[in-house]
Amino acid sequence: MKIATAALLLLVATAASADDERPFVPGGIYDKPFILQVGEGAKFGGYADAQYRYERADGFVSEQSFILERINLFAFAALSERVRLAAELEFEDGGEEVKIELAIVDFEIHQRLTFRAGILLSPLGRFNLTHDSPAQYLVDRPLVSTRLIPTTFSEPGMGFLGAFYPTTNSRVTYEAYLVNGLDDGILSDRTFIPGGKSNFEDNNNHPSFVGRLEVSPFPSGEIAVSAHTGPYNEWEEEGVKIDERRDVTIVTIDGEYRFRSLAFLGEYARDFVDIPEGFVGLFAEKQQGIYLEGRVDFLRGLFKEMPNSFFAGAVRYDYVDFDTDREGDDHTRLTLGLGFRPVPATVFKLDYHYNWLNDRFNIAGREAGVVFGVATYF
Amino acid sequence: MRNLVRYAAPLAMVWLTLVGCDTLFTEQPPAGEDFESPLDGLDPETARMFAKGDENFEHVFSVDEGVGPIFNNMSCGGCHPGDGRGTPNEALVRFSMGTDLVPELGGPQLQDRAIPGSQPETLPPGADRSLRLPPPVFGVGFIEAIPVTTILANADETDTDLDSISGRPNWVTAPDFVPPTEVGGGPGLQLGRFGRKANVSSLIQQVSEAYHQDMGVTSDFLPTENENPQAGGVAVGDDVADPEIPALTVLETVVYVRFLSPPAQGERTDQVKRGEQLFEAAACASCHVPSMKTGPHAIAALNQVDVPLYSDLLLHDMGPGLADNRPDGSADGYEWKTAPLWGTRIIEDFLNGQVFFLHDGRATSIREAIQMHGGEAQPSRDNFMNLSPQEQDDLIAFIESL
Ligand code: HEC
Ligand code: HEC
Repeated sequence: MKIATAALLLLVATAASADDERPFVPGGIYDKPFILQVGEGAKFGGYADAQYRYERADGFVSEQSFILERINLFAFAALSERVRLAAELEFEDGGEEVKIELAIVDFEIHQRLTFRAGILLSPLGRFNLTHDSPAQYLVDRPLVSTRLIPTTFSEPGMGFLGAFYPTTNSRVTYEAYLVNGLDDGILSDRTFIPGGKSNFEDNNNHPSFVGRLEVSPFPSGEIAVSAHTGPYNEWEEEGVKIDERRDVTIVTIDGEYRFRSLAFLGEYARDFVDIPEGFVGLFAEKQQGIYLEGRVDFLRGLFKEMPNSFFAGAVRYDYVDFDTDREGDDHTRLTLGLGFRPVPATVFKLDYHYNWLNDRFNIAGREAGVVFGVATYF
Repeated sequence: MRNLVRYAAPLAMVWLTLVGCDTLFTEQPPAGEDFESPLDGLDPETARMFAKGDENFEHVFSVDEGVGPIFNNMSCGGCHPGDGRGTPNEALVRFSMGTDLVPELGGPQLQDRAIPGSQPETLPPGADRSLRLPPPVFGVGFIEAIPVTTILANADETDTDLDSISGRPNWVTAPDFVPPTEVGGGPGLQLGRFGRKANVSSLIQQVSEAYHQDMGVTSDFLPTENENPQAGGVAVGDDVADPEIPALTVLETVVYVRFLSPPAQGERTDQVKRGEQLFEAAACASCHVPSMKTGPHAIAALNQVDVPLYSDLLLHDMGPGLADNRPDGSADGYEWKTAPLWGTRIIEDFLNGQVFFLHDGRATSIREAIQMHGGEAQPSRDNFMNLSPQEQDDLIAFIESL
């Protein structure tokens, strides 16, 4: 109750800053080029991501392949000052998998309180909210964002979001939703959270919570915590208890800081999974992962024909510990990337990555590869 | 645009150089330095089966794929990491009441894990129990290819040569599903070769039972689910139709372990050579027979070759200290199969820097393992203890070179 009162006070008391130029999530759903470029009415856009991969594991070629990683289509409509609609369709694996990645209705009651419903992008870590390939400096997504956080992670749900301006320069945003949550696919042959996503119906008739609180002390930086928690298994059938209830909780901390043509960003995630008794010791109960990335833009307008072009370099450190109770069972990766953007919405990326892997018995393996990717908004 | 072309060319060259470079693109581990490489010269058909078997061996069975209802682990690789031995965490318990395998109480193996909705087994009071560390699985094709007569030639059941050492075979019966054409298959008594007490005569039996008993995965060979009789007859199985895997999967896995090569021996330094002589002199080699020869075999790599396994594959009374007091086939509670010593050199590379020896992994160094030898091996052990510290180190250095 105290918290509710405090929240209400905050809602009334803080000064609203109407002329803030910051998008709600920089690089997020309302910060895509097509929305910003086109005029009235419903707007359409999307992005495509094509790759060539050459990868080797312990001296053997493990993959050499051309891939159309995904094509996404966006639609956006502002039905009124206060009602907005956004949808995104994702085509993966050459169209074999088509997914509604996003389908939301937003009703803005106040700048500090927007109601959102539909299939929403779970605000679990910054990367999940800003994962579009053309926005990224490296071809591959961070390990923590694919192996622990199941990017692209979207779920049916409802809840609220809003922004507060404690001072003229600073901003606090929040998102809080009830969602269907994960299912017991997170435990198949190992603890793997992404295996439990895509639940268009709740498997246990019991919602999960996902929320995020972001503080932006000045326009060039943000820091945030997010969490996703709830039961993942079916433990009741028609009122009869058939199993123990088991929960999964994922917590993340992320941040970004931009300075001139440099940017530093990173994300840490930790998860906690209740494991059925018979599988304790075989499945991980706790996992954690982190990535840290540095980016630099350079040689802007080098080519006369392309005044907006620039080159972009990036380096990323990735680490995921798939079982914090065991020595081993981890994956470390170093990625170096060089990109060229003829226009800001289109990027050619060439990455090299080297991987140090350890299995559950701490037996080492090595993987390395080059990936060339083309990604563009349209 | 000319600029772009000018930059593209050097970039492409950098990239081509990268692809050609082994250091940047990972190297193959050196040959002979692991337990999971195939024997040389497999024909394409066998190599294909081997590759499938390799995947099977690592495959982790989920509940949806039929693991359980009761089980010990979810994959072969989960107990035999890197195809080597396991740690005491992966060890399993066999139990019985005397020679009675007590199937009505869940014998002869304790499945101490169960899928949700099922109950794991517990050890019945008064049962004879035997804790078994998973042994390495490489080289079993060689063990299978050694003729019965060659193995029996080392047996000395009544100790006629009065050296206190009286190796004897474990005669076991093969289950009906093992074809008589298989080594260890057919009616009558068969020579046991596999398991810590040489309690299994054929690889098909070893592997089918591993699927069935260790993982709760039914196959065409053992199609009926292993239920927990202690659960009081309410057998809640998994939801997967039996058999959960076809015979072919089992056979691929058999081919895989059959054709796994033992690692190469290490450098023969002067110390190693001195140690080897001491190994002979201390009569270790009476049981840890340095080499046996395979018989004629269709696969060249297994055809009439010397197998440096350092075991006679026979049972020995190892004294009360090591006894599990649980009979197994014709082996009694004091007897164990001589553990092969090949591959000792790189055990720790595949066990997170640790080593575990003896049937239950109770010894964490070679020295400890030797000190724990008793029974028939007592005089040999005493020989070792009477060596000078330097000589003991030499002997251990020899074992560590295998
Ligand atoms: C729960 C752990 C566990 C699992 C899972 C397991 N094993 Fe084993 N394995 C053992 C133990 C323990 C022994 C020794 C058994 C004995 O002494 O009777 C053994 C013995 C063996 C042997 C005989 C080795 C020798 O030289 O005596 C082979 C071959 C083998 N396992 C293969 C497999 C295969 C193939 C699988 C998967 C289908 C598998 N194991 C799954 C624990 C396991
Ligand atoms: C009477 C036969 C016999 C003699 C003699 C003997 N051993 Fe053994 N050895 C065994 C048996 C049987 C085992 C397995 C015991 C067990 O599994 O608990 C074994 C196990 C070992 C092991 C552990 C191997 C493993 O992988 O777990 C080592 C090391 C070893 N012996 C070294 C020696 C040395 C050195 C000598 C000479 C000083 C020696 N042994 C003499 C029968 C013998």
